[in-house]
Amino acid sequence: MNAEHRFLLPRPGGSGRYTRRTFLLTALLGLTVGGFAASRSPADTSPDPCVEPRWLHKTIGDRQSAARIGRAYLDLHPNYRRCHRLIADIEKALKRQDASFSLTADAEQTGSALQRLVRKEFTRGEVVSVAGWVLSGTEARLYALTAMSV
Amino acid sequence: MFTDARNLPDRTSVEADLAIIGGGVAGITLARALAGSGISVCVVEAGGLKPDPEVQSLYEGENRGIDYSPSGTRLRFFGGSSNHWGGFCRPLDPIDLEQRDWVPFSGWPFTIDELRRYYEPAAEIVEVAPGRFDDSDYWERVTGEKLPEWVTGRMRLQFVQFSPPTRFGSRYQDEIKTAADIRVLLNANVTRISAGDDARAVERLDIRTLNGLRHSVKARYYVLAAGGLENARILLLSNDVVQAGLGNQNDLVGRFFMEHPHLSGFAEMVVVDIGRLPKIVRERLKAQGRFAKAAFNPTQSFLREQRLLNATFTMGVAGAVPAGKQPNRADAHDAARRDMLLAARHFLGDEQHAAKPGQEDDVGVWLGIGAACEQVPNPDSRVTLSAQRDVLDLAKIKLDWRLTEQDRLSFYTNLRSLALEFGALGIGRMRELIADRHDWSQPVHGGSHHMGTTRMSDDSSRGVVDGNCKVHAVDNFYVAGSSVFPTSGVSNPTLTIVALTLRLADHLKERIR
Repeated sequence: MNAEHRFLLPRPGGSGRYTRRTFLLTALLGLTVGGFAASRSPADTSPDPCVEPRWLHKTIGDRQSAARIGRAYLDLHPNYRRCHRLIADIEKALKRQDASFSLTADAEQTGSALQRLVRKEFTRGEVVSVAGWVLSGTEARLYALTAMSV
Repeated sequence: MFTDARNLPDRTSVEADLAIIGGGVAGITLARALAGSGISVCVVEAGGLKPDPEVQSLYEGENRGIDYSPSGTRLRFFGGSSNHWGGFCRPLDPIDLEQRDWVPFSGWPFTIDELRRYYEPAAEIVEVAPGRFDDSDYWERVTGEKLPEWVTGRMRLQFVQFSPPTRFGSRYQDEIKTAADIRVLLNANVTRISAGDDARAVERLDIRTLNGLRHSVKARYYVLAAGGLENARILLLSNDVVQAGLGNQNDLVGRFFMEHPHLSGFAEMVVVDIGRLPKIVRERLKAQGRFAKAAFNPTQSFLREQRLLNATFTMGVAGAVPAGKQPNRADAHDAARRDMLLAARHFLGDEQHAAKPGQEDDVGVWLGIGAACEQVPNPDSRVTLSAQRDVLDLAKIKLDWRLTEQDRLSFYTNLRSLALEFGALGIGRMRELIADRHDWSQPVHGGSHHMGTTRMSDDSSRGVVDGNCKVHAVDNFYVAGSSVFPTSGVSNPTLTIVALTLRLADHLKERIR
């Protein structure tokens, strides 16, 4: 087990997560979200550094609150403890709503598209239960992404 | 005229065209409906005009199933259980009467259309007329608030109207007292419905009083209207001709006991902006002199598509969720609500109702949710006779109320639908507080609604009474009240009891003339 992997394992009484230092380091590396996601194999279960996408601010209310819910989601779905997978799934859901949509679009546009998507997922019954809360699948993954970014 | 049976000479025999056993909602409604028709009526009421603990104790019984009080859920005095009625009024839904292939033993002998014409006069009797039970436009107009347009197709709003509530015993006492052709025997306990040797007709009612007198009532026709538990008991006690009990040749009397399982504390909803939820959804409102509240019910198409039982959900504001830089971890529920509201702020607003920024004292409110459900008719959920005896030396009832896995799964699916509607509209988020979806982890209560024990079917192998509420194979004997409901629906039964009794009155008027 390498050091990075060990670092990301859930801690007793809590969930594995990135520190602010990790976040800043990865940001400095200048990895683009899309590029990073594209470089990972879907079968790859190793953790990856997380760059917080700009559009997340337009979507999430209070980040600390969202992160707490996100951690509960990650505890239930440890295979999502990878930013690239979370982002890829969010993007996939957005593209299902609008095939031409790209996460590189304007943050405002992405925020609005995500709002529509979350409502649509409730309409379609595409929900998950997190600590008892009934959330849209994408909503839960947005909180998980926040958890990995704070 | 009211007569106390304890003051009559011993072995008095009273005669009438029609004898009604029970002076509750059904009995009083039937007597009133027949007043002035030329039919003489004798109402045989086990209690007096006021509650009496000694009389009430005759309702005690044994309980074997889900925790339930046979005595605490009904009242043995004139007016019957209307004396503790909460006043909730709603007709049944059309689907409630249908034969549904996913609901065993479902199907009434007639459709809702047969009851529709009786619901309006019934609404007058329980003092809620005119009934506006599905009229969203009306409630929007009189409350001045637009109701949300639900988007998932799973849920709809219906309206409960509240009776004052009408206490039938006091509300209609004077009218009955002065009716020339109605006689009420008070404190008269029917101990047996005595049938002829071939059990094809009832010949008399045997009556005993708590002061040791024995009387009888003879009539051309008889209606048993003593409530969903006592109807079964009296039939089972009347076993001198038919050993299994009168009307029980097919072992149906007492079976299929149904309640409306009521649950609370199983889920809650948080909303950022309570203004997005009209008042009538969250509180009982008075409009044009009448009280009403909106309830969430599954749409009929969704019930069909998902093969579900009916259910109804109501909401009320339980409290504010205070803001705070650090959630108070001492109150985990409050902290969870705050996190949800703060995290989802952008999802819980719309252009007309922008979500408020989080600096106010409160970040939103949370609402408690109440539920009442339909349960599947279950032959093993039943009333039988106990080995225990009451002061009249009659067997008490033994109640074994049971629910099934189908009931549970249906409830959970309907509950989830509520979460989906609120999420789809961006109004709120629901938290399920159910620990184990394979059990009723929250306490289940009844609504004091006793149904199904003398079920109605035109097929005598499936019902105790036929579509006219006449006991199969007994020519002059009828049953009134919710014990004849083959399925329970989810509406409180009183309005339907009254409607069904008015229908029976029409039938009897034709028949007795």
